[in-house]
Amino acid sequence: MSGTCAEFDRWLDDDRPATGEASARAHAARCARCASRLAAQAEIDRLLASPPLAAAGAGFADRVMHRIAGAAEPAAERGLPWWLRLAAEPALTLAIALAVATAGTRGWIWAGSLAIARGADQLWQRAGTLAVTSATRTGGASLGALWRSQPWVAGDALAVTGALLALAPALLVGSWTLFRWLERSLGAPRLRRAGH
Amino acid sequence: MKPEPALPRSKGTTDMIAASLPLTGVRTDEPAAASEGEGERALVERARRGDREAFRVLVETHRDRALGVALRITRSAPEAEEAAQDAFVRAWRALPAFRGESSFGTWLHRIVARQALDRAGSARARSRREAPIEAGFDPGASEPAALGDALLARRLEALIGRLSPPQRAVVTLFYLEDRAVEHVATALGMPENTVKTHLARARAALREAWVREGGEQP
Repeated sequence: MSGTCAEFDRWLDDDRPATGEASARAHAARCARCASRLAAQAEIDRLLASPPLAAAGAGFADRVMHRIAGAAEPAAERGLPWWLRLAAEPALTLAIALAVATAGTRGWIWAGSLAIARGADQLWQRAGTLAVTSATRTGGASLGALWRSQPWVAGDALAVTGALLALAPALLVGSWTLFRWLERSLGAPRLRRAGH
Repeated sequence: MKPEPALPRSKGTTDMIAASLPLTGVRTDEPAAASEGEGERALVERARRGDREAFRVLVETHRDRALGVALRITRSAPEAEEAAQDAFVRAWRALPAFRGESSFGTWLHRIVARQALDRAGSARARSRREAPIEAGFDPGASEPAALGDALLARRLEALIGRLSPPQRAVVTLFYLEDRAVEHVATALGMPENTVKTHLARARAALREAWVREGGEQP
């Protein structure tokens, strides 16, 4: 380090490394501005060296231990209402969603899932007769043609099965996300506020 | 690296928080129970085997410091309380993997800092920052060791409150980690260069504000 104030500041910013210390201190000895910065930094460092403390309120340890105990309890004992536990149960949510999808007719979810299933089926069939590059090139076009010519195939058992299979992973992930969200937003705060 | 501009002087929420902040920042009298050493190691070992009473003693020993770290980073009493609680719960779950390479306190601080930093940047935390800082705290339990240092520490806390949450987290952990940048980077999941940048900017901002506001003189 030479002797400029900017370089002295960088030396302070870098936590006063040993390299350049002699030069920095020599600079501070002849520069009042940098001498005041050195003193300020030393004071700040001294204060920050002591850990910050804050007085925890009464019952802090109890609340922590209650949360630890609650985390090990089965979900039925965590204080969530029965209807919420049912709604948050991933398997049940998946089953309900599949039932709704099966019973529904011509909704947007239904139409979209059928299109995906039908397109997948078409591509699968074409794969046996066309080269991979050809199938890739024409895949988009065939999906579009399929959608335009036959968007509603509710009576097609293959398409229905395909639609349900296509929806299953998304519903599984979605229901698990819902479960975790409900657990976080409703279950954990209730436990945290329990002051016993 | 160019330091950030000096922090503007304001009598806003941050100063009000600092004025009422139960942080002492200078207390050196560690809790007598379960201090670093054989007693704490035995408690940690018992807790690792599932002894909840042993873990409760550890919680009671380290709660003030954990809360202090969380409060310094979040600047919100409710968020600090939740971050500290979350950290203890996570520590309990992670105890089987705790190898004792650092002290339990150091290990816990890293968890607290990470939890607090996660909370500090959220919209929920920002909305809750206006809540009274005294809520849930017991000011009587944080009697300062020296009045002069207590005033300086309070002034410094006000300045720290003007830093960004990542800068607050880095500065706090840096001094708890014996000034080891690599440990701070590991604890916060940041690249070392990012930690160095936050640290340098925070130190420069604190220093300039300290000089400008005459903080070096009690």
